[in-house]
Amino acid sequence: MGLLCLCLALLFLGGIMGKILYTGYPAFFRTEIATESEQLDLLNPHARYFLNANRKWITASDDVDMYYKHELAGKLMPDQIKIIDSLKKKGQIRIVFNTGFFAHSDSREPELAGIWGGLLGSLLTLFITFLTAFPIGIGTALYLEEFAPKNRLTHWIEANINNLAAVPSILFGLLGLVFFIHIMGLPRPSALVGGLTLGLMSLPVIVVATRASLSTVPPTLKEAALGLGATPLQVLFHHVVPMAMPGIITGVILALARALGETAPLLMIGMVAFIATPPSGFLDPATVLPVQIFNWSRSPEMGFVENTSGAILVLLFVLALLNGVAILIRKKFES
Amino acid sequence: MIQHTVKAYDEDLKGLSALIRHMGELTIEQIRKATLSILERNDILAQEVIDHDHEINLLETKIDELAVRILALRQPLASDLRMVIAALKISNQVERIADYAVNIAKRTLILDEMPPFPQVEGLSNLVKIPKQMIEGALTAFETYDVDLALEVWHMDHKVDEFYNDYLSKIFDEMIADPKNVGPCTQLLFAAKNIERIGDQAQNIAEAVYTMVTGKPFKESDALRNASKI
Amino acid sequence: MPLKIDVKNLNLFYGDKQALFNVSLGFPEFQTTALMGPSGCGKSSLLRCLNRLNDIIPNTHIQGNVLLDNKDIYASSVDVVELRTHVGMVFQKPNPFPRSIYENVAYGPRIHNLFKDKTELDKIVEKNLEWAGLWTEVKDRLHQPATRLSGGQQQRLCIARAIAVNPEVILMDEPTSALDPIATAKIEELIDELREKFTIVIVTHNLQQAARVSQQTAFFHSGYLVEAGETGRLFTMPQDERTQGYITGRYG
Repeated sequence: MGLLCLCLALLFLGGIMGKILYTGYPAFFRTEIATESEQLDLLNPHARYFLNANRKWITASDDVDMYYKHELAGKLMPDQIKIIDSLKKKGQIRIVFNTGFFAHSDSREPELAGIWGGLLGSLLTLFITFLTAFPIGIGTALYLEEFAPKNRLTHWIEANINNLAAVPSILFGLLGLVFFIHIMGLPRPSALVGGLTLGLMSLPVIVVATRASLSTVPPTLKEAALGLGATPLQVLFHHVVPMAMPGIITGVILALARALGETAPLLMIGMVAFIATPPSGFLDPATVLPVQIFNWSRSPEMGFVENTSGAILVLLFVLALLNGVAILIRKKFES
Repeated sequence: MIQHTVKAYDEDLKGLSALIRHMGELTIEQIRKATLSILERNDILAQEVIDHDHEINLLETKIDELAVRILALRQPLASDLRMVIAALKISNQVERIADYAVNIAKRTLILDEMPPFPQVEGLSNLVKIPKQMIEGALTAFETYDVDLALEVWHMDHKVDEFYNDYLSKIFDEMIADPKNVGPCTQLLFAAKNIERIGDQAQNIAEAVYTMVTGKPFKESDALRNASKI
Repeated sequence: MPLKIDVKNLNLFYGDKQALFNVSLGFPEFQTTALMGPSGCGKSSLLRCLNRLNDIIPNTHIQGNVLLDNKDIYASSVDVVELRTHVGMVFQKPNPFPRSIYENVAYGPRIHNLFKDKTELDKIVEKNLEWAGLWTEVKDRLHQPATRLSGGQQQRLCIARAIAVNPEVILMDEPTSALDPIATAKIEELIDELREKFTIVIVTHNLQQAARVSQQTAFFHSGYLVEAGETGRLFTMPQDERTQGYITGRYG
């Protein structure tokens, strides 16, 4: 029975992954048209923007791109299609790797849109999340596990922290909106606010994971250190924390991986807007990759469909990478 | 005393005690027969005593082996240790007493070769007390009775008294008729062996005293306790 | 023989539960004292009072005095951390730090700054490993993880680690109960040698071990000190019925 369920699950997973791969893979490639070809205007309304640059090839518009890659006529006129076919014969149209997908930030035009803005926004946000959640989370866990007196108050705090880990993330978005934006007046959809909000959301998870890791440290180790005349802080930082570190790091990475994929709280704090320039600092308006995906998914153009799927692939890859690193670290310290 | 948590241990110790009792009783019987054989000039009885001595030697070996086994396997401590050590000593002392009984029986066989001679009164009285002493010492061992052990210890005086009495009677007979010297000497040897039995029984009592009190026996302690008796 | 540690009328409480009742016991210097008794009798609790390791359990408090060199270790002016450099401890299950052999022995001297330079530290490590009878076995692999040693070697390492801070007293909580007979014998031999320089208190379940290694033995029952005395005398002629019952295996 279990095997059947497993197979079903794998089937669904395979199906979904296959669909996303199939849809998103073309996003990594774009159609280009040689600049020397005539009637460039007809095919690429933005051609004039590129003619000044010394380029032999320019990006085709998304309609051309869709036609050339998938034979979807879309909004193309029949004579435009004829031009494309003639270009094909003349070798003045080609498909290249779409570096723009990774290097450009968002755009109204699907063929020019890229994930860089979202990715950079995600990285900056994640950095703030880390800075917020790591020291406070670990410090809290250390205090609760090693130093706090065991009374009703501490128990109450612990119970609440455990419960916070299960609170719907959108409520943290609400908290962030009210506290960081309205009360503290921080700039709206900035990486700073996003990071702080996600940091608050990650705190309970990190505290719980750290405490779990700390509790695996055998008490005899602490006693041995105490017996030698080590102070409680020395016991903590020379012995307990190093031993618990793999578990702590794993917990932190998993919390960050979760934060990377969070959308709802960031929507609450306003990271939903269209942002064409990538953020240059923590206070600049920014967006994150999942929100970028969300935005693209609402656009009607065919080009954005494949962009959405392509971005999903990138996000999944990064998440898989983070999880893989967590597993590696755990394995390394277990040996 | 409370039982051992390990029952087999208790059984080992009881077994040791039982062997000592058995060996003691056999030995008392040997003494009785040996003395009777002299008084009745009974060769056959005397030979029986000599033949049965090996039984007692076997028992001593058995007791030694069991004691060593208990020491090795149980690592007895405190009272149990003192009991096992006492058992080893006592088995040795009882075996010597049995040897004295054999010596007495041998006198009977030698006397048989000699011409008839007058009866000398006192041997049967002399032998009564050592027998009581052995019986008392064995009981004291089994019951951890230090007072009984000291009683037994003091009884040896009486043995010495009777022995000296018998000795002077023997000398009288020897002086009266030189022909009596031969047989009287044998009677003297028999009496001496009985006196030695008394000494050994006193040793057994001392071993019991050490077993119960944990202290080595000192005459001053016995004499101090004489008032109790 | 002067008393290195003198416990006077010690009562120990874990919260509301009393674990030791009016215990008075002296520990002569340069001798080994064995604490024995059935489980839960308080012998380990007493041991942990001697280096105040009981302090880490919440809600423990004591009444009475524990004097080390005639100074009360429970006085408010006493620095517990410093106390533990005078009274070291070895535990039941060998618990070396997950570091190299060298670093295990060096840890104590490091945190207490007991050396000037690396050469001196090397000497300290070597000296203490030799004391523990481990030097020849490990001198070529000092930087290997301590966890690769056998159980007996690990325990000797723990002893080396404990004596590396130059304590005066070594407390041992059933140090050989997790070891095989040969490793046990080596440690008992070591205890005998350590007596030259240290005062030793050992808690043991093993009657024969207490008989073998100690000069003074104390018998505990349900938190009370029942009897204490010279080891030979206690094991051949115990005064108290309860001691007699315990050591001869008659529990009633």
